Amino acid sequence: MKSTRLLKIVAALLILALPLWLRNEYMLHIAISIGIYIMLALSLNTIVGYAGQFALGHAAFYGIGSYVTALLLLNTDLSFWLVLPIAGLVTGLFGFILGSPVIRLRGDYLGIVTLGFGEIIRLIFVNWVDVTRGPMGLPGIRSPELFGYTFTSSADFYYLVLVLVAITVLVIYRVVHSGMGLSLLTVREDEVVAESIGIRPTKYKLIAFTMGALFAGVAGAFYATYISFISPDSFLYTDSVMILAMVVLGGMASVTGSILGAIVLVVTPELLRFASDYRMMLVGLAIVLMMVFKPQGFWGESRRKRNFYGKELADKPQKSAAAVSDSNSAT
Amino acid sequence: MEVLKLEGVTVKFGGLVAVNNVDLTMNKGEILALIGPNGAGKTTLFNLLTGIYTPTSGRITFKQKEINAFKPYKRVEMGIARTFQNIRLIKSLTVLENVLVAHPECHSEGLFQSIFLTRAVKEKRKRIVEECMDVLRTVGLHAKVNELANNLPYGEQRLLEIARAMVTKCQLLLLDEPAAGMNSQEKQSLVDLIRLLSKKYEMEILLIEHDIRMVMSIADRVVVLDHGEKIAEGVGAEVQNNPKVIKAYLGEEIDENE
Repeated sequence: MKSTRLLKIVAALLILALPLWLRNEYMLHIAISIGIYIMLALSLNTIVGYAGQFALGHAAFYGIGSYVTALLLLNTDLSFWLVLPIAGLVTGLFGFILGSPVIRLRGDYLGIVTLGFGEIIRLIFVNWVDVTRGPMGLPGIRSPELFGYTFTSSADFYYLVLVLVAITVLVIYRVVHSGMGLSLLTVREDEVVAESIGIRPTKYKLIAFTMGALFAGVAGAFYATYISFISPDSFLYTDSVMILAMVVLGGMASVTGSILGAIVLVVTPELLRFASDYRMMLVGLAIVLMMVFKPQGFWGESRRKRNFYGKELADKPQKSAAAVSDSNSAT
Repeated sequence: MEVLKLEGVTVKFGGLVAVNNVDLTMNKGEILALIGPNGAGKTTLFNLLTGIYTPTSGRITFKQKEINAFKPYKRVEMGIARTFQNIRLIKSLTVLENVLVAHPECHSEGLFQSIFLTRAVKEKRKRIVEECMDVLRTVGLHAKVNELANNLPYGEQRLLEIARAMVTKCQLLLLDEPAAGMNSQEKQSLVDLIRLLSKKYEMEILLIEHDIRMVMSIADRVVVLDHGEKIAEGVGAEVQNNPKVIKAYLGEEIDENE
């Protein structure tokens, strides 16, 4: 118990001090990518893992967040700190709009529709040349400023993404470990049961869609300002699949799983650079093997904290139970 | 006083008349048993009451309010809860969680309340867990709160379904074959439990059951359905000796002189 706590503190310090001991632009860039993908995987996990909606167009939400941010930063004087929540909310709204018709579909059908949505959004980025400059992309996106200090180095962006990841993890963790999380799991498992105990499946599925889209939008906003150049090529179908692979590989309906999945799938291709042309093939092979031998992922739902709701109390009844069962048998 | 009233309720699935012109009333605090051969329309009637189907014609009134078009979740709010014939628990949730999720205040917790998790919210959660533990104690599952629902023996899964329905704070409890798959000892304790619930919470209980001995020992009144129609109604022995009921269950007598 005590040693895990110590381990946590050491890990937290290492993560906080990362730019100090990792004085390497390339390494830092990978760390930032991991941060972006943690946000994306977690947000998709609320839709796929918790609400059980097999969505295949997550890159579209990522892209919407990026484009909203880029356009606002290029065409207005708004501060990044205002643009960031706007991008999140606009993307959340798109999630809501897409979700409304789509949640009536099931399984594969939902997958196809979200896939189509992803393609439509990408084609809009490509073809709405007046606004998005099409395939040429949007260059020269402003960096964030804070009290006169402009974010320029990778270390600055590293801390920014760290804060965003912390907020994302906290919010999603709290939401899935609440009555809402239990309701989502119930809707995912059996909608008839959910309705029979007073839960409206559509409401919860919509909340999951909106929230998932919102955090993907935040990730997109960060990406736009970090890279400072975006084009439709950054939000392809393959990106959606990659994010989905992180969720599945890490473990569905698991916050820890999504974080692990994002880390592994960002780091592995980099480690495999020596294999040059074969590296994505090796990543694919790793995924196949993983799914065959450990289909629940690195940190699947079976490791979920049980009875998280009102945790303090759920542990106690074991003791008082004996006394009550005595009085019960007496009557 | 009438709590539930069905007037001329009919449901058709295409050409099939599953429930035909059924009248039914339930009085305050009553335990009513619904019996009939397989395919008589008992479960269809349950689905009508919980809102999975809407009647083709007729009126369903609950607490003096017509509920024909109400959605299932709305009816739960009004106080109708059910269990299922084929057990439907959320297998990956624990015993306590299966009950918690049915608590009206648990799933109505606001998004921002969950995110900011203030002291008040924690207090509320504690109270909700306590209420759920009370119900679990009543059905006798309090010692197993940390087990996954899937790992419970069959009889206890049925009890858990009852607990889950109870937590919705229902007035009318619909039990669809609660004793199916139970041994005689478990059946006896189930009978005791149903009596206890009826007395302690002053609720109305409508149950479908095939075990006639159990039905006779527990029900205040019995309603018999056959081919979607109500063929008899009354207290125990009355129904048992009704020629229509005997015919429905055993078929007609053959004339021995032939």
